[in-house]
Amino acid sequence: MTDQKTAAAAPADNEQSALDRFVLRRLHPDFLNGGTDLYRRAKTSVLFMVLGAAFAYFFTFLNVEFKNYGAAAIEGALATLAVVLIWQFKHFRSLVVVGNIEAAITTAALITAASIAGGIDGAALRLIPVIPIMALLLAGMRWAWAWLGFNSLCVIALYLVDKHGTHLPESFRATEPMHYENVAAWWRAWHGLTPLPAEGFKPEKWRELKMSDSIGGMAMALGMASIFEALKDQALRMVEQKNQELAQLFDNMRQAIFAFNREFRVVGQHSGQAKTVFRKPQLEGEHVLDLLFPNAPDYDPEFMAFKAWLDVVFASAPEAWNEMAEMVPGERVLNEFTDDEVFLTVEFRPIVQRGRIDRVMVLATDDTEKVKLAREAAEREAEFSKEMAAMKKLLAGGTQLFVSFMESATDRLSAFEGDIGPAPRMVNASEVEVLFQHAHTVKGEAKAFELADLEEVCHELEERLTDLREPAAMHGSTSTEPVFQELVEGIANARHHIAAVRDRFIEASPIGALVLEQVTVNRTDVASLEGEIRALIANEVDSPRARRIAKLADRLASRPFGEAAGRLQDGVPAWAASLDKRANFVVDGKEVLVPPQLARVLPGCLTHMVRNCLAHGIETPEVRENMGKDPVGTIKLTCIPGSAGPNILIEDDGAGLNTDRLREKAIQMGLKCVPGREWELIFASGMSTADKVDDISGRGVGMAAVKSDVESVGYELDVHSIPGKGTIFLIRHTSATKRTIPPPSLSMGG
Amino acid sequence: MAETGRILVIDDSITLLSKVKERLAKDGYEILTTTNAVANTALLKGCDLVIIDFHMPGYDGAQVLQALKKAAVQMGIEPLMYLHTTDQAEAAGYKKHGFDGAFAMKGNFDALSKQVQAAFRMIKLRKMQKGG
Repeated sequence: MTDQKTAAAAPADNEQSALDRFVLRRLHPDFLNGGTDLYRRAKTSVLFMVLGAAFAYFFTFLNVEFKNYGAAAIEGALATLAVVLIWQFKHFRSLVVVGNIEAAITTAALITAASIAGGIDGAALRLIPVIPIMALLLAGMRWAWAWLGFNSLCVIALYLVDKHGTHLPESFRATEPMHYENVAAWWRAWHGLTPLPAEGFKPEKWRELKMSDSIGGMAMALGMASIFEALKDQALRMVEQKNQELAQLFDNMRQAIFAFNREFRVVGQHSGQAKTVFRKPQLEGEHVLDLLFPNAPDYDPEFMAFKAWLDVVFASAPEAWNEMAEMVPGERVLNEFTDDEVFLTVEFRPIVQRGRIDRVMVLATDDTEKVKLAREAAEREAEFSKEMAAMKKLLAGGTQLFVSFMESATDRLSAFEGDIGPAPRMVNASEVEVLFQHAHTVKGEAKAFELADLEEVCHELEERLTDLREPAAMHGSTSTEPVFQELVEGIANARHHIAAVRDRFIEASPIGALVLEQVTVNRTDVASLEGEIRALIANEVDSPRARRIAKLADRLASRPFGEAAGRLQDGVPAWAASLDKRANFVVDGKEVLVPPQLARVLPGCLTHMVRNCLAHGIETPEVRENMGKDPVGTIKLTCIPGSAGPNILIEDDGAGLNTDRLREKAIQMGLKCVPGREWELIFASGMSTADKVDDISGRGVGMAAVKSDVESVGYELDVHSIPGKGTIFLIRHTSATKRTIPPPSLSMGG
Repeated sequence: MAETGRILVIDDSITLLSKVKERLAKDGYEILTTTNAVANTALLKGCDLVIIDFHMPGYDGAQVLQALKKAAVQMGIEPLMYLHTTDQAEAAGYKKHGFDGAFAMKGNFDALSKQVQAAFRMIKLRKMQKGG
C-alpha cells in the first residue's frame, strides 16, 4: 500500500516537474541548462542594485540643497530593483526582443528615482545615460549595443530638432501630466524630517526638478539635447552673472560707457555714469547720434562727419581701427552754448567678434567741471592781467594819486560804517544822502581807476540805499533794518577789494610796499639839503641831533633798490631770447633803500652784470636739460639792508666761470693769478672769455668798469663761482668786514 | 597736433579773412584768402576745403559757387565747399544752394576751428571710401 502510494505520488511529482519544465522551457529554454544562467542573472541583478544605489547616492551627494543620503540610497536601490525586474521579465519572455523601448523605460525609472532623490541639476544630468549603459555593457548584454545605437539616433534627432528652433523640451513640458505641487508634497512625505531650504524652493530649482522628473526630461536625458539644454542654461546663468558683475563695475566707474551695434543703437550693459551724463533713465536702444549730438542740426559739420564715420566704421577691418579712431572727435560738447553745457572727452573702441567689428564701445569722461574751472582760471588770469596793466599804467602816471584814492576810499568806508552804526536804527533823509554820497564817490573813483569789482560792490550799496531814500523822504525818517545786513556785508566786501587792489599795486610796483610811502619831491632840493647839512656838521655843528638830521636827509635822498632792478625786468627775457636762451628774473628786497651815491651807479652796474650772467653763465635750454637742470635759468638780485649800507647779490644758476680759460687768458695778458681765486681775473681790464664780440659781451672792459664804478662810491665788488652751479657777485660797503658779510656762496639750485 | 590741408576762404571782409587766416594757420592749415573768387578761381588748385561767404556785395553767392565748382571740375579736384554764415536758417538750406555743409557760427573762431577739423575728417573718410 505504502509502495502504491509512493508509486502513485512519484508520477505526480514527475508531472509537476514536467509542467514546470514545460513552462520554463516555453519561457526560458536556457533554464534547462542547470540554472547556471539564472544564477548568473541573479548576480547581475545584485550588481545592478548596488550600482543603482551608488549612483543615486552620488546624485544626491551632488545636490547641496536636498541632502538625504539614506533616502537616496533606498530610492536608488528600489529603482534599480524595478529595472532588474523589468529586465528579468523581458528575458523570461523572450531573448529575441531587442529592448530599445524597454531600455528607455528602464532608464526613465532610474532617472526618476535618482532625480527625485537628488533634485538633480543640469550638470549632473549628462552622466545619467552613461551609467546604465556601462552597467549593461559590463553584463555583456547584446542589446546594450543596440540601445547605444538608439541613443545615438536620439541624440542626432533631438539635436536637429533643437538646432532648428523647435524646443522639444518646452513642448514636453507643456504637456507634462505631473504637478509640481504633488511632487513637492510627495517629497516632503518621503523625506520626513528633511527640512526644506529656509528660502523656499527657487523657481529655477523647480524647473530643474521638473526636467528631471518628467518624461520630457527623460527623453532629453536619453539624447544629448538635454546636455545642450543644461549647458545653455548654465551659460545663460553665467552670462547673467557676468552681466551683473559688469553692471556693478560700470556703475562704480566715473566714465560714461556704452556700446552701440550695427544699427547704431545702444546694446548691452552701460555704466551708471552714462545715464547721468546723457540725462537718460535708460540708454538701451538709444541711437548713438541722439546721445552724442542731441539737437544738432543736420548741417552741423561735426554731426555730418560722425554720421559719415558711422556709415563706414562697421565695414572697416579691425586692424585698421587706429585710422578709424583718428576720424572721430576726441571731445564733444553737449548742449553747446547753453547753461547746461557738458564737456566730454570721448574715446571709441572696437568690439571684435568673428574677425569683424561687431559693436563699438564709447568711453566718455565728463570734464565739465575741469573745463569750467580752466575757463574761470583763464578769465581770472585775464582779469588779473588787465588789472596789473592798469596798475602799471597808474604807476607810470604817478603813484600818489592812486595811493591817495586808496586812503580816501578807506576813510569813506569807515565813515559809512560809522554812520550806519553797529545796529539798525532810524535815519532821516539827509543821513541817507550822506551814506549815498560815500558809496557814490567811492564808486566813481573805482571806475576812474578801472576797478570793476569795487565799482560793482559800491553800486550794490547805492541800490540798497535807494531802497531807504523814498521812505525817508516820505516819512522824514526810516529804519535801516531792511537793508542793514546787506550794507554791512557790502562795506566788508568793499574793504576786501581795496585790500586786494593794494596788494596788487604793491606787487606791480618795482619798489614794493615803499610805493605807499613815497611823495614827490624835487631831487635838487633834496641834494641841496643833504649838502647843506653835511657842511653844517663839518664846519659848524657836530652834535648827535645834527647827525640824525644828516642821516634823515641821506634817507630822503636814497632810492629803493627796486627802482634800479625793476628796469631790468622786461630786458632779461629779451636779451636771453637774443642768445637762444631762457631765463627768469627774480628781485628780492625791492624796498631796501640804496644810498644816493650808490643809486647813481647801480643801474648801469646791474645791467652789465645781468647781461654778463646771461652771456657767460646761463646755458642754452638743451645744455641745461642735458645737465639735469631746468631748461629755464634764473638770475636773482637780492638787496639786504646792512649797518654800513645795503649788500647786493647778483646770482645766476648757470655754468660758472671758466677758470681754465681765465687762467689761459691771464697768462696771455701777463697777469698774476691767485690759485683758487681765478675768477677774480674777470675784473681785469681787457679780460674776456667770449669768442666773439656782440652787443651783450666780448670786449672785456665791462666788469673792470663795473668794479671801478662800485669802488668809486665806497663799495666793493666780489665774485665767487662754482663750475656747473653758477656765479654770484656781491656789492658791499668797504667798511663791512668779511666777518659781518660772509663771502658769497651760491644759494640757487643748479 | 598741427593739422594739414589747404583751405580757400572767400569773404568780402578783409578783416574777417585776416582773422580766419590767423586762426586756421595757427591750427596748421595752409590758408588762401580772396575777396573775389570769380576772378581768382585758380586759387582753388590744391585746395581740400573752400569756405564761402554767400552774401558778398556785387556777387550772387550761387554764381560764385557754380563758378568754383566748374573750375574744380576742370582742375580735376573735388574740394568740399562749405557755406560760412551766422544765419542758422540759411545754414539749414545749404543743400539747396549746392554746398557740402555749413559753418554756421561765423565770427566764433574756436567753433570754426572745430568745424574745419570735422570737415577734414569728412574729406579723409571720403578718400578712404574711394580708395576702398
